[in-house]
Amino acid sequence: MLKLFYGIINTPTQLVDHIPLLTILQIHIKLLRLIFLIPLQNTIITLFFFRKSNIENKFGAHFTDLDREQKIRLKISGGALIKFIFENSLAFNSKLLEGDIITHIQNHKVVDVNDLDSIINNKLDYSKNIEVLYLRDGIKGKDIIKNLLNKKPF
Amino acid sequence: MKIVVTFLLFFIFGCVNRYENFFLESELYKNNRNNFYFFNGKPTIIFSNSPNEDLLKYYRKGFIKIGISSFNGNSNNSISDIESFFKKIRC
Repeated sequence: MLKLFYGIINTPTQLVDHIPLLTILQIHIKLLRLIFLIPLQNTIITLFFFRKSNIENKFGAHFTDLDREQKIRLKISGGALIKFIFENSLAFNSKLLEGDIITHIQNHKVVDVNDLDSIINNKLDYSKNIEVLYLRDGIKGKDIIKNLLNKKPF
Repeated sequence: MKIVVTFLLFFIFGCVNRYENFFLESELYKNNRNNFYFFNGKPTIIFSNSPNEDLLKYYRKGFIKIGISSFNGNSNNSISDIESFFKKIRC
């Protein structure tokens, strides 16, 4: 007999912003496993190792490509899905949310993630307002992002 | 005999740092090793029973996943093993 459940071993440690590395320990506990007739508490341990990055991300969001099912459901041929938004960035201070699909940015059509990265890094004029067209739950939206953070948003 | 075998297995596998043996480095980290803030202290270890939510929270703060370790084991020596392995991978 094998029983699986999540166990909290300790309460979450308060993360201090300036600490640039942390690990997240995820523990599944298997119980009632008999090895050599000795009851042994066996554990599957999964650790994610993180470090604080200083890679500049001008726009302040991480994107993924849409899969085929999403494109068919939304009846669009391209776009980039926002996976997460960095705090205190341009995107963070806009109306955009995780899960939105960016279709146009400052009059540039977004085909996929590589295309959007290229636009963000090479074509966007950060001295001007950035107009973003996006889809949220299939409904079109528009936002004009003002660069309030000057030069380097993230 | 069973007890002897158990102790033998513990002796063989107990001294190995499994965090190191089962570590899988992320491609993003491999290609951008120099783009991380230098840190010389102890790692902060977060215990989580909702990893998806916690991962998203730290991604938002600008943390990048540098790798993952996953294995079957006993968690008794986890903290010291993590800290010793961390000393190797932070460089």
